[in-house]
Amino acid sequence: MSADGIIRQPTTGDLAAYAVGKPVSATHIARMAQDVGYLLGQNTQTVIAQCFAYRSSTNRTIKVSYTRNPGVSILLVEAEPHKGSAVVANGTITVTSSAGTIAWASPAAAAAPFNGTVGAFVAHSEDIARRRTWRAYLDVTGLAVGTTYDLNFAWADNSSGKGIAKLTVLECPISSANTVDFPTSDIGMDIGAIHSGLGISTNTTTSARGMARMLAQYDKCRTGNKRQWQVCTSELDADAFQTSSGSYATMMAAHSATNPTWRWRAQRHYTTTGDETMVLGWRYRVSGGATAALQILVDGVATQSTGLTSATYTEVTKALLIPCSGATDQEVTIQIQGRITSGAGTVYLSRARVCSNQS
Amino acid sequence: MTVRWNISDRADAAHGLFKSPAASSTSRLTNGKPMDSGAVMRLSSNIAHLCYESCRHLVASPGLGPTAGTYQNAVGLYGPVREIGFYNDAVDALVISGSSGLPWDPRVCESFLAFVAADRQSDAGPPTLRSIRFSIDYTGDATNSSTSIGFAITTHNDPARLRDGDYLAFHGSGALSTGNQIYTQTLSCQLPITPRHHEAHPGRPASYTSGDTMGFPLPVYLWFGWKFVGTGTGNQINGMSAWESRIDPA
Repeated sequence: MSADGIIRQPTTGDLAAYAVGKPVSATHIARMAQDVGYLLGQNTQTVIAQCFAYRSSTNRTIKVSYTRNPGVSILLVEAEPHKGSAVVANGTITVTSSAGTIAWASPAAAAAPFNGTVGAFVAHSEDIARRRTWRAYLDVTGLAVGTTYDLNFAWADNSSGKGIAKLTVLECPISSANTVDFPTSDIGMDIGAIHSGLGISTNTTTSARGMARMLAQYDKCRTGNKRQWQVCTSELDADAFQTSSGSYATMMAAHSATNPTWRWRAQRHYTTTGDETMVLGWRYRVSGGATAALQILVDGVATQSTGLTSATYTEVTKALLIPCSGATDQEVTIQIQGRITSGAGTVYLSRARVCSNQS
Repeated sequence: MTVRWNISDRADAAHGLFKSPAASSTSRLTNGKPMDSGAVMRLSSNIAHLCYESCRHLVASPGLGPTAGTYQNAVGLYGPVREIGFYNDAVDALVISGSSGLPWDPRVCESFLAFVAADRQSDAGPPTLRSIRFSIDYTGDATNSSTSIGFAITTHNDPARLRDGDYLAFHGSGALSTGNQIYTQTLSCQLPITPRHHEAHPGRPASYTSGDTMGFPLPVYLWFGWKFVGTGTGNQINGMSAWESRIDPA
C-alpha cells in the first residue's frame, strides 16, 4: 500500500528487465513494491468463519478460531438474526478470547450491541423479506500476530428463544483500517521513497522504504496469504453436528442425512511439494465415555483423527495436504464424517476448520 | 469486454512456484552492496506468483436441510416482481419468465458477505471484480416439476436500497436434474467497480484517485438461490461454497 492508503493492482512486468550484469532500475523495484503493497492490502484470509445456529435453544456461545495476520487490525462481523429475533436490537453480543474482552470498534462509538448498518425493510413482511443483517467491527489489535485464539461470540436469545441464525466473520483488508483510525505505521510501503539514482539496498525494516523493508513486507505477504474454511455451531449438544454411528457417517449436515460436499480451490506454491499444506482442526466432545474418530475426505481420500475421548469440547489439530496436480485453479471436494469406534455414545462436532499453513 | 490479469511474468511458466533465494543472499542487503539480478528475478517471480495465487475462499456453508417443506413452491419466485425480486430490469425479466429469478425470501436463498478483490482489468475503464466460482450441493426430489439454481452478486442485501449498478452478476441454471447433485458455475462481473460501490461500506478507502489502478476489495453479497417446484419432501440444500477464481466463464 502506498502512502495515500490506496491499494493498487499488481502491474505487468517482464523478468527480462532484471538481466544479469545490468543494474535494476528504481522503476522495477517500485513496481515490485506496488505488488507487495497490493498483497498486503488485499491478501488477508478474508472469510474467517461462517457460524450457524439454526436450531432453537437458549444462550449461545460460538467459538471461532482466529490467527491474526500481520497488519490486520479489525474484523468485520455480520449477524443475521432468526426471524422474529430481537437479540440484536435488544441484547448484547460479547466477544472474548484468552487475551480478554475484545472491544467493538464500529466507526462511531459502539452502541450495544451493534453499530453497523441496519437495513430498512419496512415495506416487507418478515415472511417474505430478507432478514435484516447487522454489521460491526471488532478491534483485534490486542491479539498477538500469529497466535491462534478462540474468539467466543456469546449472546442471549430473546424470550421467544430466537437468536442469531448466521454469523459471518471477515478479516478486513488493511486499507479498511485507515478509515477507522487504526495505526498503520507498521504496515505498507512508501513507493515514493524509491527514487531513481538512489541506493535501495539500504535502510531497515522499520522504515517505510528500502529494499530490506520491501523484503520484510514480502515475508508478511507470504505468511498472510492464508485461506480458511471454517464452519462453527454452538457448543450445546443439541446444536452441534453429531453422530452415534459405528461406521463413518454424515457429521455436518444441518438437518439432513445427506453428507454435504463442499468444494475448494487448491493453491500451488512450493517447489518442494505439489500439495498445499493445511492445518485441519476439529472441536469436538464425546459422550458416554466412548471413543470416536473423525475424518475429512478430500477428493475421497481420508485423513483421520482417531482415539478421540474428550468429554468436554476441545480442539485437536492435524496436518492436512490438499493435493495439487499442477493444474491452475484445480478444485477438490471436501466432506466431513465421524463415527464411534468403541463404547456407546455420541460424538459432537462444534467446529471444523481447514486453514493454510504456509511459511 | 476483454479482461486481463495484471500480473508480472513468473520465472516458472508452468507453475510459477516459489523458489527461495539462497540464504547467502540476505547478506546482499547491506549498505552499498548491489542486488544480485538473479535474486531480484526470483523475488519478482515470487511476488507475481503470490499475486496470481491470492484467490480467497469466500463461502463454506452447511445447507439448511429439508425443513417442513419450506422449499416447495417458493412464493418468492412468483409474486410481484418489485416486492420480492431484484429491482433491476434485466433480472425482472428473468423473474417474469419464471425460470431463473432469485427472490429475497430467506426460505429459498442464502446470502453471504465477503470481500472480493477488484483487480480484473477492463480495457474500457476501472477494474472489476475477480470471477467468483459458486458451487452448491443439493438434493432435488424426484417428483419435482422444476428444479433450478440461481447465483448472484450484489453490493448489499437490502432490496430497498438496490440501485442500478449494485447488481453485479447473475446466473440462472435453467432446468436441472433431481437427486443428489453438485451444480457449479463461475460468475463474471462485467461492471467496472467505481467509488460509488464503496459508498455504503464504512471501511472504504479514504480517498480514491486514478481509478484505473485501484485494487481495493469490495464487500459484496454472494447469493445462492434455489427453486424446487413440487409436492415432494426430498428437496434439500446440503452445502454451499464460493471462491475467487482466475478462470473467466466461457
